[in-house]
Parts: sequence; structure tokens; C-alpha cells
Amino acid sequence: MVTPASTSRITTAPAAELSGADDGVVMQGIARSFGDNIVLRDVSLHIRPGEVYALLGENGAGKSTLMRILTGLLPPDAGTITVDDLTLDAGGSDRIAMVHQHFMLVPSMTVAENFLLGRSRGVVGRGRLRRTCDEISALAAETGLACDPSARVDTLSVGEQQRVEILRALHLGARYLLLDEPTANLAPAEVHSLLAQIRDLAVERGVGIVLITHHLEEVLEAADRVGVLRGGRLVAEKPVAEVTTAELARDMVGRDVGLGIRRAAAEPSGGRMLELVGVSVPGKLDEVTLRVGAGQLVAVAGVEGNGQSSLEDVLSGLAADASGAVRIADREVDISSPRFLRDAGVGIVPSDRYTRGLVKSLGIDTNLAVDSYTTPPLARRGGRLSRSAIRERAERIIAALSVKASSPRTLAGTLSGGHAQRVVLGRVLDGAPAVLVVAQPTRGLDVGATEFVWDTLVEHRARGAAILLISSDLDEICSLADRVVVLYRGRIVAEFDEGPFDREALGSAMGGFQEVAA
Amino acid sequence: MSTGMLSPPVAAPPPDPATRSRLRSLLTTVGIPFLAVAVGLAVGAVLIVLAGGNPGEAYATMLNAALGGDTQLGRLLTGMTPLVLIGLGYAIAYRTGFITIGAQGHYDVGAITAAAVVLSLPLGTSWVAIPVVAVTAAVAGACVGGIAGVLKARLGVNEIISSLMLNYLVFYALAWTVRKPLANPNGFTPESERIPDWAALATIPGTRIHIGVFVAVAAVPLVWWLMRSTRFGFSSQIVGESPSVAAANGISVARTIVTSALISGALGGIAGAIMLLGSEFRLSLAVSSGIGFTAIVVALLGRRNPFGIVLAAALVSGLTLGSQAVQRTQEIPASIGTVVQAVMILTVLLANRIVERAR
Repeated sequence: MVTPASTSRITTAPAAELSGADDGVVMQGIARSFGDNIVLRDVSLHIRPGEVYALLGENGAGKSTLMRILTGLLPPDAGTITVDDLTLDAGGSDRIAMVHQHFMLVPSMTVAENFLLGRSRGVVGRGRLRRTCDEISALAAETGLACDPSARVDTLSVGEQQRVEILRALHLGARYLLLDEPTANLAPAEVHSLLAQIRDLAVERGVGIVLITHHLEEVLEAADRVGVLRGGRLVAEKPVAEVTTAELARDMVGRDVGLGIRRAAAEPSGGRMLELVGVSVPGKLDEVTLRVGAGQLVAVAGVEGNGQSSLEDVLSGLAADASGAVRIADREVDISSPRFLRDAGVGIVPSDRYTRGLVKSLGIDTNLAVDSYTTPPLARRGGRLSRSAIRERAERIIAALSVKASSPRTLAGTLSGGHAQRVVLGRVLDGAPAVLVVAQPTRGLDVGATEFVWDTLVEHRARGAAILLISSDLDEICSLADRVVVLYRGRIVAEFDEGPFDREALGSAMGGFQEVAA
Repeated sequence: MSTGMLSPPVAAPPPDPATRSRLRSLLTTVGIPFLAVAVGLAVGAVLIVLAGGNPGEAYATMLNAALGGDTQLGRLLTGMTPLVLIGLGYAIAYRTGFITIGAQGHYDVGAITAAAVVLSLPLGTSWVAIPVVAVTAAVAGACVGGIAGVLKARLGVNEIISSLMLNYLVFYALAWTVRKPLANPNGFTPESERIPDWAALATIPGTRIHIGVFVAVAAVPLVWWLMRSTRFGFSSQIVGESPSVAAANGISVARTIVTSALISGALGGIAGAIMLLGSEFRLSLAVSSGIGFTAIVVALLGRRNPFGIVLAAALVSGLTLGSQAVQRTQEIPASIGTVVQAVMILTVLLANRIVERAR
């Protein structure tokens, strides 16, 4: 273990036969921060050849930073990495390959051409291409990862492209594969066959595999060991045989309730202010039915990528292919345009503050007018605008939410995340919407800004608004919600009617184990 | 407020951030064009030296050719007129994020339409005659501009390419028009007959300044108002800066783009009609002179501000007149004027990027 890295063992025989204690990827004391933001603290990991190591963690737990360090894209602030006893320096190692969630393939090229990308200089002859095709076919047969080397990538399914990525990594000579949420875009049937193939690669070819995932069932199905990252620390590491999903869920979400519980003081007046009936978006949302009463805050929990953004789109009037019904106060609303929903009394705080909420390059006053410039008092007759009304509204909202801006004309892009969110909230709340749909409202915000957003939501609920909170932050959900539903792969898989909510059960349901929650 | 500055104890309070940011934005708005002009003229001076001339003398001649007297001023103003109108059209389109380069086509089709109307319709001397011509030319320009707009809005076709191709289409329509339907039977080159006298734009007696100049003068505040104080002006700004925010707030991105395309086309069409009826008096291939591209220089240098566009048009127009004069008197190639324009644009683009990155 303490052999100096300089003793060259680069010519060792295949790992499967020789996997001694020195083999594998060893990370020790890895730390990394971005500015004041500490992303990784003292993480030590050992990935052995021939094993599948599952790495769990919520969004922002530090998984992708760790992987970027491992692939040499990012230098660590502290710590060492050795790969089969060779020190890993900047630029990474040929032995480690990452398969990204978003594939790094050129769609208009064939599989074989993609394999040769960046590995050949000058003209690639037909002979070279044919040889590569043969190599790919041989490798495909050997590994059981079926693949047609002469097919154009854009004709392949997501699952096939995934296999191409894995084959390419193996073809490059990788002995350690980092798979970043490899099942994220796959159909359920494909998920199982991919997981089986991953196991085969480890067991039969001695490949060391890191499987990054949110799905607890995949961990149990494919992994040998599992590590959990939370807040930049490796908080647990166990053999899969010894863990339960409840344990994993608890490790993943932690136990500390951050900022206190703010459940509704008064009994919600009930009723059905917002009601979704069988709302589906092909491939994204499956028959979602839920209701939110006046004065009630219902949270939609779930790991991102399980249909939250589609749900947000539907309620924003931006999901063209949605089916099912949305009712506001028992009246069905046309969801084909954002305006119809707004006119029906729905206010949206979008998850993506800058692509949907604010135009960075324009002033706060303009940004605040975006939703209301077509109606009086901002609009005057004959298509004209009242600039004074725009200014007054901006001043009013800036004052009401204490937005830190020197003037209404301050560019929105110069505001901090928290104050940008105040502008969005202020704009939405100024219309006193009866229904508020809030998506990931505190993402990227610091504690103080988070507190402000939460207080604002609670205050609005107290005034009788029906609030639907779409969030992947369990602290937020447990602190605010009156009811929780869990979205998993586009379906509501669990409902929790009354707090205090069982975080383990919530975490399990978010990871796809609804039976635990039931 | 100040962050630990070791300034004299009784110093004036530092300007608050709002004033400072406004100052800075003023500095870039005004500073970049001036920087561009300076760099352009400096490069021009080097070229003049290389061509064997004296930069001071050459620039003096240019200035004189642009502003030296009533005749020169009249020529400058009539030369500026189409640049201002087209530049305003580009400003509206660019504000919407619609990066058309199709004004040459709008301008040509405006000229064709104007020629066709005055040469073939018996409008006579009625006072409605000229407005009718202007409106038909505007409609024709809007139709051509609208094609690129609809292609972009409905199908996502790149407007730079489609508008450029439409320029060719219109140019060959012009070439056909002056050879076939409107060909002058006595002409030596492909051209139409001279427009009837009633159709020539009235001028201020004793000058070359025709009423088309006043159309441009009126268009400047009108476009400024349209951008600043109307619903369309507002939605075009949002669409231009962030189509996704616009869509999320129920602003129709497609409709806004098409409207912008129509307006910029109409302004180009009017410019073409004014040039035909005020300066050219007959349709020929010379009408299609590249002014639609020169106006891009004007729109960028004027920073899409209507009043900035007037200044930029004066500069560009003066440079063109001046470099022609320099060629006549000092045998320095007039193309130096074009080079100076090009350098100015490159400077503007470069400075814009530098300012953006510094933010």
C-alpha cells in the first residue's frame, strides 16, 4: 500500500488475475472548494478491480466534483489519488474513463468514427476504419454489449448509445469506468439489462466500476459496495449485502432539520383550489392526480429528473403535449398558454431563475413588467405603455420584498441569487395569485435567502393561497409541507398526509421503494 | 458605504452604485462608437500615407465635401436618408434578436414597386399619388422582410441566410424588370424610363433636399417612441434578450419576430422608393448599390439607438462623399472610406465583447 508511486508497475498483467491489495483506484483525503463553498472534505475511497461501487448522494452532495477530480478535469485542493499504484497527475489516467449522463458522441458520425475521434491524425483510411469496426464487433461479442459499428449514432436508441459509450471506454483501455447516472434516460427494461451487463463487466473482465445513481434499487441490484456522499463527506461505506434501503435513505438525506418546521398555524380551509386529474406528458409524466386546498402547501418530492420539470411545464402552460385536466377552484383551465393559467390565478416561481424568470441584461423594472405589461395600469390604450406605472410597480415591489437594488433600473443580472429570487417572488405575489406553483425555490440560495423565501411562502399560505411546492430538498419539504407526494419516474408513488414526515420513508420513496413508504 | 478606502477624511462621498453603473453604461454607449471612429480614422490615415497622400489634407477635404456648403449639406442629407430609414429597421429587428441582413432586398423591392406604380398607374398629379407609392413600396418591402420573419418564427430557419438569399432573389427580379416589363426601349443599358415629373419628390427650392429627408426625420422619434413606449417595443426587447423568459410569460415569440421583420422590411421599402423618386429618377441595376449592407454599419455604430443611428448615418454618408472627393482631388482610392467603415465595425464588435467580459 505504501509502495512509492514511482516504482513502475504499468506493465502488470490483467488485473482480474492479480488483484492484490495495491490494485485499484485509491483516493485519499480529497478536498476541494470553489471560493467559500466547500464541496468535498477529506474524502477517501478505494475502488477495486472487478467490483461495482455505487456512489449515492443528493444533488449537490459533491459526486460530480469527485468524478471530475478522478478523471483529471479538476485538480483537488488536497489529497492524493493512485491508480494501480501510479500517482494520478493532472490530465487523468488512460485507465479511468467516464461515461457521462449526456453522451459525448457526434450524432452524425458512425460508431466506428466516434471511436477514432481524437485518436487519429490526418486522414483515416478505409483500412483503419474497417479494422476499428472489427475490433468493436469483437469487443461487443466478448462483453455482450451488442453494437453495430457502422451505424450512425443518431439512429441509435439511448440505450444503444450508452453501450457505445461504455465500449468506447473499454476500447481505449479503461480498467475503471465511472458511470454517471447511466440509467437516467433508459426505459425500465433497458435498465435491468444494462445493470446486468455492468455486473458482467466487473465480474468477468475485472473492470472496476463506479455507479453514480439516485436509485436505491439499482444499488441493491448491481453493486458490491456502496458509499454515500452528503455535504461533501463520505458519510457511509458498506457492503451492499449488509445494508437496507432505509439505512441508505437516512444516510443520503441526513437527519438534521435545518431551519425549523413552519407548518400551517391554522387548519387549512381545505377545498380544491388546484386540482390535477390524470395529467400526463408522454415519456415524462404518467397520470398525475393531486389536489391542493386553499391555505395548504403540498410538496412534490423527488429526485430531479423524475418528472418535476414536466410538472412545472404543465402548470406554466409550456407543455404542448400534455394531456389530462387542470382545475382551478373547480373550473378547468386551458393549459396551452402561460397567459391562460396566469389569468386563472396561477403564479409560477420557475425552477430556472434565469431562463424563465429573469432577463439578466435588463433592468428590474422591465423584468417586473414582463407578466403585466399587457394589462392596465401598465398598459394604456392603443398599445401604449405607461412608463410611470412600470416604475411605480417596480418601486413598490422592490420596497415590499426589500430587494437590495440601488434603483429600479438596476440590471437583474447584477443581483445576488437571493435577491434575484425576491424579484421573481415579488412579481408573482404582486398579482395575489390564489394558486402558487413554486419550483426549487431555494436552489443555490444561502441560508438567509432560503429563510426569506420560506417565510414568504408561509405568509402567503396563511393568507389562503394554495401552494404547490416542487422540490428535491427534503429539509425544505419537511419544514414547509402540509402534505407530501413523491414523484418517481413520472408517477406519484407515495403520499404522506400528515407531518412530521418520516424522512427515511420519504427518502426510500424518492429512491423508488414505495413499499417501504406504504 | 466605501469599502475601506484610505481617502482623505473629508472627501466627497463616493458616488452611489446606481450613479456609477449609469455612468459606466453611458461611457460604453458613447465611448465605444467614438473609440471605433477614432480607430477607423487612424487606420484610414495610415492607408492614406501608404497611398502617397497627406492624412490631414485628405480628412480636411472629406470634411469639406460633407459639410462645406449648401450643396454638400444637401447631398449629405439625401445620402443619409435611406441609411437612417434602413438603419432604424435593422435596429428594430436586432432588438428583437432577429439578425436580418435583408435590407438590400427590401430597398430594391421598394424601388421596383415605386417605379412600377409611377410608370404604369395613371395616378396623375393627385396629392394621394406619392403617399400611395410610398405605402405600396412599404408593403412590398414588408412582404419580403416578412418571408424571412415567418421562416424564422415558424420553422427556425436562420434569418441571416434566408434574408441574404432573398436579397439575390430581389436583385434578379430587378434585373428582369429593367430588361423586360419596365425596359426603356431607347435605353442603352438595362434601365427603365425616367419617372414622370409629377412623381419626382418635391425639393426645398434651391437645394437638393427633398421631402424624403423629412420622412426620415419623422421616422427617428417615431421609432424611438415605438421601442420605448409601446407594448410591441417592450415585448420585442424581452424576446430579443431572452426568448425563453418571453415564452414563459406568454409573450408570443413568433408574432413578435414577424412583426419586427415586417416593420424593418417596410422601412427598407420606403427607403428604396424615396431613393428612386428623389435621387435616381429611373430604375436601373445601379439602384442596388449595397446600401442595405452599409446600413448594418450604421445600425451597429449607432448602437441600435434611433438618435445614434442619425449620427452614424451622417458619419458613414460623409465618409462616402468625402472619400469620393479625395479620390477626385488627391488621387487617393475612395475605397479607403469602405476600409475605415469596416475597421469601425470591427472595433465596435471587439469593444462590445471586451466590455461584456469585463462585467
